[in-house]
Amino acid sequence: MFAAGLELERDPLQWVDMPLALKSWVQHAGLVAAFGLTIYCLAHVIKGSFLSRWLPTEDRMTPGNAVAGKLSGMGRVIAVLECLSLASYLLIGGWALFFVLGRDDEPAIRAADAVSQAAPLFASAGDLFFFLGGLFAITGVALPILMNLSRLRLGRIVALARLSLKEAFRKRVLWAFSIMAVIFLFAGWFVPYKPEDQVRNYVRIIYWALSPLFLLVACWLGAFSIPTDVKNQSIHTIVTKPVERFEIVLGRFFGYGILLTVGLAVLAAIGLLYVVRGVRVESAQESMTARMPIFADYLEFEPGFVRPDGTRDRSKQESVGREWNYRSYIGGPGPHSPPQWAIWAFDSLPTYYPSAPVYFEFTFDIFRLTKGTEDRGVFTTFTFVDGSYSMPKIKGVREEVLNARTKMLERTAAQADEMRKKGISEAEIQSWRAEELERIQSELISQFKYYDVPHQEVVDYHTLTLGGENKDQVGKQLALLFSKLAEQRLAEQQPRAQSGERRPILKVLVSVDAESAAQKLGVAKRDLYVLAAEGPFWANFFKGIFGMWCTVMLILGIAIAASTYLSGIISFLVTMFLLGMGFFKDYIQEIASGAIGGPMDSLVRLVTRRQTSNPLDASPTTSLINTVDDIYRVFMKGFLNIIPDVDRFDLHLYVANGFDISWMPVLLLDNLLPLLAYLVPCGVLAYYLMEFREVANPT
Amino acid sequence: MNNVVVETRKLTKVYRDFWGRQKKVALRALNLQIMRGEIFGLLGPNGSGKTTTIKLLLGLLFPTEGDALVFDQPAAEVKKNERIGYLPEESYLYRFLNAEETLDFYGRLFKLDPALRRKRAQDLIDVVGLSADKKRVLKEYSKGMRQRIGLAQALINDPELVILDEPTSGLDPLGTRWMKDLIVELRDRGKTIIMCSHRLEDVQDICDRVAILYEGELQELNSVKVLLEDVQRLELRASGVQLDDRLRRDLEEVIARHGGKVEFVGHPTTSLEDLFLRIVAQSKAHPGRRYLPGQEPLRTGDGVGLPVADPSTHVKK
Repeated sequence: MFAAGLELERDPLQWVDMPLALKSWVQHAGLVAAFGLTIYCLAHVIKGSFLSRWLPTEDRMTPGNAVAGKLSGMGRVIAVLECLSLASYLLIGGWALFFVLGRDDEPAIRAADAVSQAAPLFASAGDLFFFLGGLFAITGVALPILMNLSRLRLGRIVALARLSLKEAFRKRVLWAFSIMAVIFLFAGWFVPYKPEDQVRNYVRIIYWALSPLFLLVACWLGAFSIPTDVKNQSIHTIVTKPVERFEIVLGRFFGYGILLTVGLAVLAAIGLLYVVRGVRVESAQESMTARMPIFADYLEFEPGFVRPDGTRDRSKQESVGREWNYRSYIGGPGPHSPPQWAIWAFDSLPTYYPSAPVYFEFTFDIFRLTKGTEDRGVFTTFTFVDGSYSMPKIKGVREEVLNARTKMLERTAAQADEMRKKGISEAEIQSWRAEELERIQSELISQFKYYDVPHQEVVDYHTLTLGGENKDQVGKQLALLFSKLAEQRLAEQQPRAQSGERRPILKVLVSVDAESAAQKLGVAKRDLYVLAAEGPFWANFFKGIFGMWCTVMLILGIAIAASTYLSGIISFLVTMFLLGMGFFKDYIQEIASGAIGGPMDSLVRLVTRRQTSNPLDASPTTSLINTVDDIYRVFMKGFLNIIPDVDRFDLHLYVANGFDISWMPVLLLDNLLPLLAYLVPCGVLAYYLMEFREVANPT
Repeated sequence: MNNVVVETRKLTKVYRDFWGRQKKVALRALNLQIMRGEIFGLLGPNGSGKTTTIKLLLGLLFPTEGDALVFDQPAAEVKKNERIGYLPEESYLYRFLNAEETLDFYGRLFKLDPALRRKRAQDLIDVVGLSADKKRVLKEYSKGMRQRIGLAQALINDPELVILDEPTSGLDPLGTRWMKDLIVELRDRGKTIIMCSHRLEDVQDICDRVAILYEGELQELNSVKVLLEDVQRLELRASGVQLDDRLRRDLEEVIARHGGKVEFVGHPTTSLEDLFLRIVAQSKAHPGRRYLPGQEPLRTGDGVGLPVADPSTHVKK
């Protein structure tokens, strides 16, 4: 059973998120770098001869040399950076102690808010020290690599990449891809689907077949390549040539990367042919496109969810008990329940709408409290208003619009009667009446900045266009509304929104009509959108494959980095473990955040048979349990930083549901940059592990 | 130009386990210098530190203490590898490549001009006698053939220093002679060769100097001639005389007059290697000859015990 909308648990990264993302990366990668740098410096002092192998004895950083100040230029720089990094981390500790034990007036840490752009990059002094510590450590770790980059030669890397390609071909790795033939031939026999889900079904088959195949192959190739060379000692004949150790790593990565890229492209092309063959009309309408939506900036509800303490949470409404609470549910008006609305707010509107109709599409979920009438959807009303209107004002404007419309319609009816009396034909009168109705509607929109589309039928598992058969007419009216709102906003020349203040330009309200009051409508922020344009399906399909490619490259990089030190099978297991953890990252995040209990808390509850909703009694034992769990969560948070976020690269939902994958926010910012953010630390790790590895040491 | 190509100063290597505990001292404070243009042999029983020394010089291992310098640069310096060729003990080459691809691959690592790389690869394949098998993958090669292609890859960059670990391992007498001749030829062209071998006769034949290691310590270091010369004895070779009692008595008299004593007078022997090579050469020249039991060994004109072809024993092909 597939849903038709684009169900994403988080928004793709935007440019406004980049500073915070970069800060977070520096902090977390820097922590790992600081750990490594500290070990490096300690080992340098204790066992200088091991780590200064490329220096003559008198220049090595032995304890004597260090005391005498006889360090090389690079050694001095690294030592200074290490001291700065440690100092920053110690300052964090000092700050934490000071504020934990002393003052309470440090500003509360606030999460970055994409709407309120004035949120500070560093929430506190501790945050800043954490960043600086990471920055110094990263610089100390990266500096030797950057200094040695000039020694790398593209020709040698290409030669090693060609070797990897030849090895893969001659060892018949490509045969592994032939298993896709089985998928193409027989998968469709075993997966039933509704007609409108045909393309979704095919897309998911392709993605779910290609993904594990390529991930396994990438992991296998990456994990076993260098260890096999070390075991066979064929690496001896390479290391004894003028080849930088890191060139071996890069050569393997690029060689296998090219192989996997070409393989993925070819199989994806075949997969595309598999998807587009014999597509039914219903399915083509649903998914054989690449919609370019403009989503609302936020969704809220009226009256909102009432918390146990009596306050209202307007970010959600009702839950109907589904395990995944992605959607909130609104119901129709009843004798004992107030009317409920879902309100989508747009902070800005695109500027190219004045002449073209505006199409709104939506995909809502239906939760039936009664069976209702078969083959009949839920009827809803869509209301479009000026974003500055509050709920009371909207209700007031609605009354005014109703009254004004009634008067205008009465005038129109009277004029029609007069026209009949004059002998004008009924057809002409009807034609005039239709134009008049449209004019009335336009006038009401211009005057009140209000437009509603009542009695829209919503059905499950379908993407619908507002207006149905009259979507063009509705689209024109909406275009008029948009242009009026834009003109008004321009004329107002209001200053930009202050921090925390929202000033949407448009609000879209959806409510369940009274005749469907017994049914619930499930809505989420991305369930309703403006359809800006549509792109070709085939291009979007390959964009989705790019996301898969990012995952494959990530796994290849991790496997090769692990293989520079570990044996083949251990590298393989480590990589698969990290990949597996990546699929459960959300759950681990939940544990680390404290939303669910830690191990000690869970153990106590198991033994005492206490419900999770029942808090533990306050006691020294409970304090100890909480402390142990807090320490556990610290490690889990650290572990989270190592786990790759593989879900981010899974773009098949876009393709399956016919939504365009945008170049900038999704492919570049949300896929390529995070891929590089993972691969760069892997590369740094691989550099040092290879550089310090004795390839001929049997231990 | 510095004549010292390789220098070690108190070079020590201790193998440790993961926890840092000492497992084996492979090399203790090795001091030696290898000069330009000589063939230097490293001898010693198994576990004496020969291969460890070579690996330290090549940067495959890192010293625990001391220094290893090659061309005045630390052994782990990558740049110095441009002037080095290395033939490992076992042919650790990529078995899925053929001879041409192997040499092409290693040639690319040296940034050789493509035309030069191709020419040099072809020349080396001819020199090592693998022209007929250059398109076959190394997986199909015999041990001797792999040793030859291993030598070819060691020479692809025309190195100044060639390090050979058991170069004659797995070679038949013909191949061994060929390898030794080649090594001498390389030395004559001004290259420096370091040779590590268990085959003492090979080392004796071609090395200028040898170092003998035992349990990681240097026991002896000198030229072969000086080490093997027995100054307590005299050896005399003569030709154009027949050994009889009179000659024996005269020789004993002369030696006794000088205060010495004759220990042995007799005919010198050649080496088995030389005998074998000559038989092979003779067989090539006169194919079809075969040995018959009870037949007297035929002798060549120079008196060396070499069977001469008996026409009555020829097998017509």
